[in-house]
Amino acid sequence: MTDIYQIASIGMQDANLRVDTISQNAASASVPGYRRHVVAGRPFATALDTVDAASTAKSAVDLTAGGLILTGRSLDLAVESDDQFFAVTDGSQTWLTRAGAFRLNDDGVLVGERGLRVVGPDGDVRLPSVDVAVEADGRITQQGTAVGAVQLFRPVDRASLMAAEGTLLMAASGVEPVDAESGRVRSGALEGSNTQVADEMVGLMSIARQFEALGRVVQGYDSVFQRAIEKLAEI
Amino acid sequence: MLDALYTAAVGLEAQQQQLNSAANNFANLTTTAYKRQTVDFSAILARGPGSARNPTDAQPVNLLHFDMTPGALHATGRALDVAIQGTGFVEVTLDGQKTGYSRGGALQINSDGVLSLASGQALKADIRIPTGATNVQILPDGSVTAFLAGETTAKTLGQIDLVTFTNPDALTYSGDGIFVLPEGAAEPARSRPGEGETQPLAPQSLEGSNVDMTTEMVSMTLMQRVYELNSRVAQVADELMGMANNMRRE
Repeated sequence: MTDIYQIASIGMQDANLRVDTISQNAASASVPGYRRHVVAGRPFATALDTVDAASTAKSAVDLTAGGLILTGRSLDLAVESDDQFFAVTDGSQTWLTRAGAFRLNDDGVLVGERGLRVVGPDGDVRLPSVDVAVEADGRITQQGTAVGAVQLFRPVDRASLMAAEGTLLMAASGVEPVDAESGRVRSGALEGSNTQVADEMVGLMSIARQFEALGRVVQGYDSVFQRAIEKLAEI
Repeated sequence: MLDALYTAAVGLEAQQQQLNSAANNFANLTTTAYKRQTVDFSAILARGPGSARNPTDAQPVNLLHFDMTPGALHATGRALDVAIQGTGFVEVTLDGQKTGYSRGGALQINSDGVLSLASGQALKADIRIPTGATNVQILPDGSVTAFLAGETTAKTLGQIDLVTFTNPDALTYSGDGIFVLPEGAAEPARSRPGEGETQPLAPQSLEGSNVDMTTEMVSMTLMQRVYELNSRVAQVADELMGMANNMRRE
């Protein structure tokens, strides 16, 4: 009998998770390189088997490319093909990202979001100055002299990409470098966030109604229960 | 849903901070050598859904950055106006000992006879202009010359050097168009204007602000819409919470 309560509660937890995801996307709607999170759909039967819905749902990412924003800054890099990424590392873990607003840290090493070091063809990318030009194939030059290069990566299995913190993505299946001919970067531009305002709004509206409907189911079921108890008491 | 509410709040605050820096940029549209501010939100939500559910994690990381792109130069004809072409800064003395870095501008001779910025900070090069000196000139190589009283040839009074940073992004702003180096950051390289990485000074000119009005306008429109979206998300999260609370009927 309590199955219906449980089904409704799973549905509501699902709705919760979707609102959380939408709120992430909304908050990051103007963060360059952000890839919108989507709640990966899961079959209802498995949701019923594992009662704790929130712990099993994964956040997948929508890899659609965002629009280009021209900034004119030479270390602002946008990736042209939508399945290639920059890799950043904190020394122990490596993430993929499309956010190419790079800077130099105090040691002259190229860093991205939160000071994570950009992975180049041979480890860290060390530059003599920020006054450099970045070619479409990733070579970094200073007044014509090559001083380094950025390297693009591609996840071994695109479907395994998962959302991590901020604009970072986690490739569970590992990453492989893209060869210099096919990887193209654009200097002086950033890729915008791919949050779809209309999609998020429609999502919000449908979730609100879904939630309301589930609430009614619980209420309806509750009153059936109540009546049953009253009837039984009369006998 | 609490999560969604907090996240939306962070989103709202982020847009507000961005608006602050846009307002600053607009106000300084015509300020000499002003460098446009941007706010870096890449780490605004340093967590994904399903990670640690602690609302205090959702603090906006507001990193203020300055866009060091040089502004356009315009000639003014005033002898003590000086603009820096390309990268580089002039060193000035702050409160007697600390060093600040400025992009130049309308220089003046302060009450001690020392060449200083319009806002009063003396140049670190400590160039004294004796009373009675006429025709003070700043040359493209940074030397400052003048005709001293009673003399017929120009005398070099001092030399303005430029400093360049490996990483100008590390500089923090201290007002009056002056940047300071945070402790522990790498010391800059010093060179005469025109040597090394620097270009010759542009005497009798001023550097304009590097704020681009259209870019700011566009980003402001975007801010407004994103703010709206976030407030809507907060509203819906609140509605859902209300529904859940009112599910039980008496």
